[in-house]
Amino acid sequence: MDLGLEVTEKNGYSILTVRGEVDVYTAPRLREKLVELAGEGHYQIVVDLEGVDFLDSTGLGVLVGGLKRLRSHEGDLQLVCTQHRILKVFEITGLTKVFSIFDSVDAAVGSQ
Amino acid sequence: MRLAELELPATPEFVSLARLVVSSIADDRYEITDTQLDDLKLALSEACIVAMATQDSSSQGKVTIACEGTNDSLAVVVDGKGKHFERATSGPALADGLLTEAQQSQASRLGLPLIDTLVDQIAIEEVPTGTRLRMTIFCERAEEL
Repeated sequence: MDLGLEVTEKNGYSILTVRGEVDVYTAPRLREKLVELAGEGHYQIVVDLEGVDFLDSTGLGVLVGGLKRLRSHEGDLQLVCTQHRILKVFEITGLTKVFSIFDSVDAAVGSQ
Repeated sequence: MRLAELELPATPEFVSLARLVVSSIADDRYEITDTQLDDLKLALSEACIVAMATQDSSSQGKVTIACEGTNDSLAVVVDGKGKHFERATSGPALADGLLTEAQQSQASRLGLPLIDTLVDQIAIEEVPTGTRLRMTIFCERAEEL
């Protein structure tokens, strides 16, 4: 399955909307996009995972790497996710304590 | 009873195909819940990642995946024919202070702890060709039409 990546802006945040499956094959493309955004000076990023059907440990590794990169520039990487199947992966690995996870993009950017 | 066997190139682009085939077999042959199906797909992906990571020159770049069924269980057996690997440390503690370089690297090696959590039984079997990962979920076989 193809991986969809779309970037928009809202309230000073870059919103990276991800669609499809984030696995060992597609995760490098997500990493490239996060590196590209950080390289362009976008240090406040919200990754919207609502359209993600599948996420494995390589996807987790990419998100953790992105968070580290952004925090080194005083930025942050927040997540939007309400799907149980995806949240479960963060819960099992304890990463719910590392990431701020919101129910919607609006909640993540603080407009609601 | 062996339900199916796949031999795939040990490269990332084939992992989604393995997920599709195994989940189709599980859904077709067993009374399996959506949660079990999601867990099985993730466990299989992690097993494939482990198998690919342990490839050596004897592996010939292949991963073999077999589905074995009984009336009340489905086992998915992944054999990378690679070098032996050890069961990794458990996952949840990894979250604390995960932002060091070493821990970031560790995040990409969460495979075995994740599988441990997702399936009902996990067995790491030493075989002459390397290490075999057997993941079992308990579920009833579907009645045949």
